[in-house]
Amino acid sequence: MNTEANRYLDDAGFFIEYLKRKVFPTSSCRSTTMPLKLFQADAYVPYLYRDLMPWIKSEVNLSNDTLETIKTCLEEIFHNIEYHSGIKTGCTLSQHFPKENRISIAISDFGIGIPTRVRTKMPNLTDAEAIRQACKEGFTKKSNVLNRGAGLPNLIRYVTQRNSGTVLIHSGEGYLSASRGPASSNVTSRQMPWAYPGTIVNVLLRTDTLERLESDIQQEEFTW
Amino acid sequence: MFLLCLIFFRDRVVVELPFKFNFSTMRNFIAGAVEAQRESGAREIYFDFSTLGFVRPEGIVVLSNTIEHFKQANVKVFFRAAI
Repeated sequence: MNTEANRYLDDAGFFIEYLKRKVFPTSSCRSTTMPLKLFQADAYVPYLYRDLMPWIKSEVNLSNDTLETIKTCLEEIFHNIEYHSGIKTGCTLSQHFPKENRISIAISDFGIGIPTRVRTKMPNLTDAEAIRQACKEGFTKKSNVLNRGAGLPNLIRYVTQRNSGTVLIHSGEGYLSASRGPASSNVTSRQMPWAYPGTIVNVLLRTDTLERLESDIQQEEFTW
Repeated sequence: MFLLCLIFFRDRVVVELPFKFNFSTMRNFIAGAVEAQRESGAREIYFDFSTLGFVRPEGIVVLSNTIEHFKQANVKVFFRAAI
């Protein structure tokens, strides 16, 4: 048995969450890990503002403007759980990989999924088509007057084009991956032969390009 | 590649966690857990941690999400060989 993987689970708070105790006596949360968190969908703000963002700030040396942009992107994911999943809880875990220059942020819920929600507006779409539709410009604004986040298109654009990061979404039988493209994000969606019970979003941020977020925003403001 | 082992009993499903648990390997895990429980109607599910060799953050989140899915469906969840 590989105890290292189970030790990582323990360090990440998994067994504390479900067994109410540590499995390894010496386990403790690593500074590079933002441990497993089950959050109430309507109460994600304290976690995002007081826990996750300060942790990101402590892990990488970033300006406040850059952090604000990242926060806006992440808020969209939490917002979608609150307003679109039909479920009250979600779970998340983040990990900094310093050697890879990556921060991985995984957020999931076991709600009705993005395709089901999209089909309330466009009933004939497959899961793959629906998840792609949810990531098109304008769709979120039309479908949600309570939108507090920046929309999935903005999340994808910021992460891929400005950070050169990656966004992976699996919801129902729809799978979408987005990465940096020459002019716009390279987004592909596929119909999978199996269904994820809800939605999982995995955002991979590059820590060696994060400051470009700030410089790009400043350039845009100047141009505007 | 990993081998996902499912053991069906009359009222339980045993799922071995994948050796490498990440975004690309979650398919067999979800199929083995969620679909197997649904098809069998088992009211208990056992996750075997002895087969886990490497896990990424998304693997932990998928596992947690799956547990919450079962809790909502009133399926009892048990852990095996977590140490």
